[in-house]
Amino acid sequence: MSKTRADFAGFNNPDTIIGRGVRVEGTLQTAGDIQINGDFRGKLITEKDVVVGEHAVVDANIHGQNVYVAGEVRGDINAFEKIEILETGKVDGNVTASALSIESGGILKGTSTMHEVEAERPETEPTYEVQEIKDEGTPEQDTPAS
Amino acid sequence: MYLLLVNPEAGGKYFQKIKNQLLATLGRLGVKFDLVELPNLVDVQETLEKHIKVSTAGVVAVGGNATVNAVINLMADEEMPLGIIPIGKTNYLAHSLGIKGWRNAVKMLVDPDKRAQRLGKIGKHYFVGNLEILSHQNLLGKYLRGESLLKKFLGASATPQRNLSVNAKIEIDDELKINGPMQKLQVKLNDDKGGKKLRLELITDTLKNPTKLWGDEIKIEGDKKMPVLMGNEVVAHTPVEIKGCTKYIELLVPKSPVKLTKRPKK
Repeated sequence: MSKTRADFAGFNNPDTIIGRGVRVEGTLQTAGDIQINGDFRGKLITEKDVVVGEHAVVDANIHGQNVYVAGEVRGDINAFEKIEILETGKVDGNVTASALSIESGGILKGTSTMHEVEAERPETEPTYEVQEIKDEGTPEQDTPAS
Repeated sequence: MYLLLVNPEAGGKYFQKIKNQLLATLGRLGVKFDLVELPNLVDVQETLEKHIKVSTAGVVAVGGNATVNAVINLMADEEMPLGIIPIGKTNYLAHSLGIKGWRNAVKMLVDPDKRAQRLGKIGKHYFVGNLEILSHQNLLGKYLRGESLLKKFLGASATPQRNLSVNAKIEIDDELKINGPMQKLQVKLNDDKGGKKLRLELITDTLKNPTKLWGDEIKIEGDKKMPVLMGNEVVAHTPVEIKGCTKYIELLVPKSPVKLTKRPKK
């Protein structure tokens, strides 16, 4: 199920935030969630989620677990899990993820590559109980005396 | 036995007023101590080296922020806990540790807890706690915004709500650069081992939307000089370098109150 705006607002306590109107340049590498509301240029790397806010302009390649784009990204995005481009989002670059969703109005200018996921299979092989079927013979039928 | 380093000038020579009471309280509570006075914080290092003994359980800075900072600066390489008896006009660190007043501090020395706090460095000086860097205009506003009857009478409490920004350049770990308007930068030492040592919170014009970043070392300069504050005291000015150190200092703190839990009704 794709994230709604309400879910997006619920991303309320990220470890790293770049506020609206702030310009940051360089490599931002962290283990926690990142939210960009301002301008960022360089490289963004995290093991967790990245949110590119509606007013954000990101001129960088992004690596993260899940990447949500409501602003503008100029660069490639590589997500271990999913990428969501919301209705105000615009990505000018190639995206790679296990899942990709683009809301109506969202723009992707680039190629998309999906991580190969192994086909789902049951965790255990189905087992069958083997029942011994006793041959009790066929019921005797009265045969008419000849 | 504690080594009490007293700044007799602290808090407008407040020590002289309470000296007898303080010594009596220490004696009554059975706190063993050596007391050394350090007028104007001269020769703190020599005094520390001369008086510190194997039997010293901890060094106690008796004074305000300046006294505490002078002692912290020398104890960074000592493996000895530091206590504080606040008698200065500014007692930011003591308050942040939950030590309220000298009587409270003396009681705490009887059976203290120990808390390891990361040390930071501003230029060549060690510090503990949080720092704030802000423009002079905001500094004035900060003082005037505090409510008091006198300020109300003077009509000062209604003054500057308007914050004036300074164009600042902040460099974090030689990896990240921030250029732009700044009203306030809070620098907190992260006590967690592992991870980055400094937690930064930058306030620009959009007050509701701060920038939060992590780093080990920051360099900051502005198009105007900005004061670096610890509590309400100016400890440096920009341009300045602030580092989070790998060293920790053990601080003597009051035991945290035991929480009483209600017995479930039968």
